[in-house]
Amino acid sequence: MKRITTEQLFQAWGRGQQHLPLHAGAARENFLARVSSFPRAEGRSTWVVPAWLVPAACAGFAVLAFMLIPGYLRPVDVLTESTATLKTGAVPLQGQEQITAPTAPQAFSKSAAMGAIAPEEDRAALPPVTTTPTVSDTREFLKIGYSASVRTRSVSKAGERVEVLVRGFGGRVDSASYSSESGYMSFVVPQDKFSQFRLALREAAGGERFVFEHTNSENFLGEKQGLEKEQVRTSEHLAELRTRLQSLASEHGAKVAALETEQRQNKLEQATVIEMERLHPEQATALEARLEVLRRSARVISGKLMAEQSSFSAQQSSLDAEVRAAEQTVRDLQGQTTELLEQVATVSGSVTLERIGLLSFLDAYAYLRWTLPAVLLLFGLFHFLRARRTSPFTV
Amino acid sequence: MTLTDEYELIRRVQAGDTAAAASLWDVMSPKLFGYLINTLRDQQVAEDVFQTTWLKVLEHIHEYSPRGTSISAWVFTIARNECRQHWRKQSTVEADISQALEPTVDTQPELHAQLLVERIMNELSEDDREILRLRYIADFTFTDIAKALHINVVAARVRVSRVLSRARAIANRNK
Repeated sequence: MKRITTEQLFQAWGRGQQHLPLHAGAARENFLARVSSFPRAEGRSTWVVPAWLVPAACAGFAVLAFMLIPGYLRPVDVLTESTATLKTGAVPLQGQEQITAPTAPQAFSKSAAMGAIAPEEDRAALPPVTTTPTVSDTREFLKIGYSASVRTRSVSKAGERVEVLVRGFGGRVDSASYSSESGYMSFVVPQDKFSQFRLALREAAGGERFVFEHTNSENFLGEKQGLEKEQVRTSEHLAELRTRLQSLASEHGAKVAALETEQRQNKLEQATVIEMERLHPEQATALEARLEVLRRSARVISGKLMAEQSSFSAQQSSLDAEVRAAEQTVRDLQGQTTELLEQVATVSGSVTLERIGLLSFLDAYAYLRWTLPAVLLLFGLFHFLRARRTSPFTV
Repeated sequence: MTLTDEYELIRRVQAGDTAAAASLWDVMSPKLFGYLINTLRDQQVAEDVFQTTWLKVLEHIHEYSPRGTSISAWVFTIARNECRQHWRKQSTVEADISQALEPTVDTQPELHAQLLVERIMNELSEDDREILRLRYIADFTFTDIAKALHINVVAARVRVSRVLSRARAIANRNK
């Protein structure tokens, strides 16, 4: 005996239970006779939507929606790099400024121009500005550059918010310009407040979906090492100059003392000869000759003294000038070091503002370009499957 | 017949087309009467309710809209309301299930099956019986069952499945 399931049992039972009443014929006639006497639904439109119409319309609208809704560019990951060389990695938006490297401080330009490190004849051969950092030196002097592109419904309001943020974090707005469609602003903020500033900017913009960021950084260790080396060199050179100046002065003093001693001896001898000439007129000729020699010698000594003074003054002036130049170089290097540290301590940034339309704004939250067509297609499919359902009238 | 054809048929009935009305009657009457006789357990009462139901269908067919409810579910809703009205008048809530019905089958295996079903139905609750009647006599879809019982479609499926499980258990006990 064939086994049947409970469902088959009840299906057979149900079919078996379907039957007409005893007086079905009369009941049917009675029913049909009354059809014309009851209210009709004439004039009322019961137009039935064809099964294919709604799915086709949904598919059409889905395609239209996909084509017309602008694709919302998803924010790229924030790129943060710490390398010795610059890279730009952001997906560029239309109108977004390309990021350029933060410029290194112009080290040594003044000292190089002054050529104070080397003697005048060697001013063309100057030491290199930047050294290649050694591996053992793990110090970091990171200069961070930052750029962001903010999409907003109101450019001017967003710009004002960003300006308030920059100033609130101890920064400075360097330039700002806005129109109804776009805006641009450049600024600096302290590096120690930079991460907080970024968080606040994202929050003010309405979340990460409206902010495109790019961050790059460069280690100015090479420049710092270069500055340090030059500082050491310049200091050593300055010390050497000062030593030379001292030596010059002491040598000059010794020479002058010797010449003055010689001069005094000469004058004494002259006086002695003159006295002898007075006492011994008979030796006048010889003594006169001697006196002439002494006078000639005195003139030579005076000449030497003058020459020594002149030489000393010239050398002293030259060394003084070199010392002053070296001192200026030291001051310049200190200034450049300070400038470098100040540069590293701040983040140079820019924000580009771009107005987005309402659809793009909604798309940022709902991925509208994909979800709306998907919803329309699903609805169309659901309607199609439902409409294809067989009527209970099918026997 | 697809739903579109069904809606077209109804539209013609609403417009007073006698041929369309005849088609409607021919298709629905066996299911309707089979449901009524199983619910009311009385031939005469079932015929009365059957007539009253069709009269009410004619009275209100112009108000019927295909959206949401199938014509089958709509007609059976009228029939169920008529049953409730009948019981209210009789001061009862359901028919006496013990009243046996005339067998409607001829062959021995089919008779055996019908008796088995009757035995199962006797042991089921009225709610379970109603579900089986709607599902297998009235040929309701799960959507129609859900609308009739004011539950969602998933719950309707679950209920039918559970009723069949209970029926299976009863059938196994009675072997």
